Amino acid sequence: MFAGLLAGSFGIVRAMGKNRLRQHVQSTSLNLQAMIEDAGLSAEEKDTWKEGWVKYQDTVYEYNEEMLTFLVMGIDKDSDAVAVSEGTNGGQADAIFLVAMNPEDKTIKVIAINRNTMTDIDIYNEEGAYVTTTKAQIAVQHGFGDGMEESCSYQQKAVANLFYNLPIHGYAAVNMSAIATINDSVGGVKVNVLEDMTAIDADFVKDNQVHLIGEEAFWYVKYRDTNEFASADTRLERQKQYLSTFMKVAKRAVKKDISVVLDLYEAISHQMVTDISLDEAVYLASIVSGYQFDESSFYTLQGETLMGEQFEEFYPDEKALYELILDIFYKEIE
Amino acid sequence: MKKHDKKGKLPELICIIFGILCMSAGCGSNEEDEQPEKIQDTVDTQIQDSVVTESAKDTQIDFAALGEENPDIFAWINIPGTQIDYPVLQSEQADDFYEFHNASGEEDDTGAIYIELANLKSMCDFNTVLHGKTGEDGSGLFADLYQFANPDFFEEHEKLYVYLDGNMLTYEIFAAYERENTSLIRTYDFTYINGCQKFLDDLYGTREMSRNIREGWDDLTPYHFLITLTTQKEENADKQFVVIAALIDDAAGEIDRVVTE
Repeated sequence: MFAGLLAGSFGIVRAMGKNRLRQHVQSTSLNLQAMIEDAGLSAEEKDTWKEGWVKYQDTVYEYNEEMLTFLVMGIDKDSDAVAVSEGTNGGQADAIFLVAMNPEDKTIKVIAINRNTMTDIDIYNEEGAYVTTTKAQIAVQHGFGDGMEESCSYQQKAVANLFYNLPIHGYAAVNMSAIATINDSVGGVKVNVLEDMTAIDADFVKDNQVHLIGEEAFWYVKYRDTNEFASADTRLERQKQYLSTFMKVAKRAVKKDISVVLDLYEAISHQMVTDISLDEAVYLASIVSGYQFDESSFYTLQGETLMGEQFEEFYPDEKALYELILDIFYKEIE
Repeated sequence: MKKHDKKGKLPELICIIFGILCMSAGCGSNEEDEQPEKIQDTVDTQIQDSVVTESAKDTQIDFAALGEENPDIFAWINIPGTQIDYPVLQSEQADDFYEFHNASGEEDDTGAIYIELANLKSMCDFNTVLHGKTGEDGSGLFADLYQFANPDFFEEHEKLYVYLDGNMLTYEIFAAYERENTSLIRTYDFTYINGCQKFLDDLYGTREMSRNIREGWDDLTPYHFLITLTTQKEENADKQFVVIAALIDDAAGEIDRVVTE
């Protein structure tokens, strides 16, 4: 009887989650065609061009309104200050991912955004007043703010802007310290070590298979030799590898027992800032198990890392980025 | 190749001597010299109608008749291939007076095409910003600007014309895109070189998937003369659509200004 009650309430939770998610979008800038529908244009005019359409290399695309896109940040409150020190107590976003769920072809795609990506950053003074916008490493944006919702919404704006005003339906900023909890909630994750990291753990020998439990998972995705140039790139590879393996394990766990999501949400709630509510999270977890997701679901921004005056600067290849956005978030119009 | 034929001799334009000449001869104004009340006896009805019936299609604008009807009319804009063929006004009462009044000065939500007081009527500013409405049903004086969102239409429609009393200016449309619905005039100080440069930097740096920019127009400087046409839709109130053009021909040779560092 108790199980029936649980199943019933889960049904409600899930339905609410679905309806609410789409109302999250911070930016309405992908204007798109809603207004065209009854704009009083002739049928012929309607056929010719809709606002929000994009023409690229003789192909016309439109934004896929079905997409659900989330910003996932790993926040490192202990990291060294980079580039801007003033008012950056909010902690930098050390790992930045966009998770794009496509309900039409049932795929999840994850775009890893290099933390040093040079983009427009809004600068705020110590009182929290907006000062100016400048080019800086995208990871520092989160630091301007309270470390909570404010920081996240700044970061969301910076990422949306980098992605040509992409609608983002929600965010989750997870303290890196929560990785151990998340990792263990699915019983740990097995990986083949990608590079020598014996400096932090004697087991982390290149190509060695290890079953990451607790803090090991944290160190595996977080470790970065700051003395080594472009070390953020190799760490990104490790984060990719870890996340895709984790997803495989998690999908199995969720399929077996959906309450894993409730437990996990509860367990990390104090180490996480998110505008995705519990019911929304449960809804997402329930559909994710039917979505395709593997190593090939990962995308990284192409570009090059240059040494700035003090810190590394990653310059994205704008053409590649533009094509990536079309590829993942748009669909062709025949 | 003609479209690359932009004002190449710009540095000389900033020369103060020309600036002073300009003040007295060109941009300063010659309205007073050339607009005596010689058409006082023109038939009344004809004057009343001129705002409605006048068109740039014959490349002639009767500014005398228009001025009789409403002295706030100082220019005429025409974009071939669109319905845009209207007088341009500036009110001394309020910046947004013609948001709610038609070109005859009557209360009318259709509004008129207008510039704000921060812009000169001489079209000698770095960026003259024209406003016009787009209505809910796709009507409105500047509704046709949205046509420039279509890359094919944008590609095929290069020119726009601004008629002044005694001059005709030709502009090439080089950009059309959606931006935040903030006042360009208040966001950028176009009276200083820095403000002009910031506008250009932001224009070239616009991150908008469907932005249209014409090839060969990536080298504009604060020494050029731009015109920006803006419009909004109520349903999408936090965005404005802009069509930006650069001066490529000045028939009377009167467009000039002193650039402030």
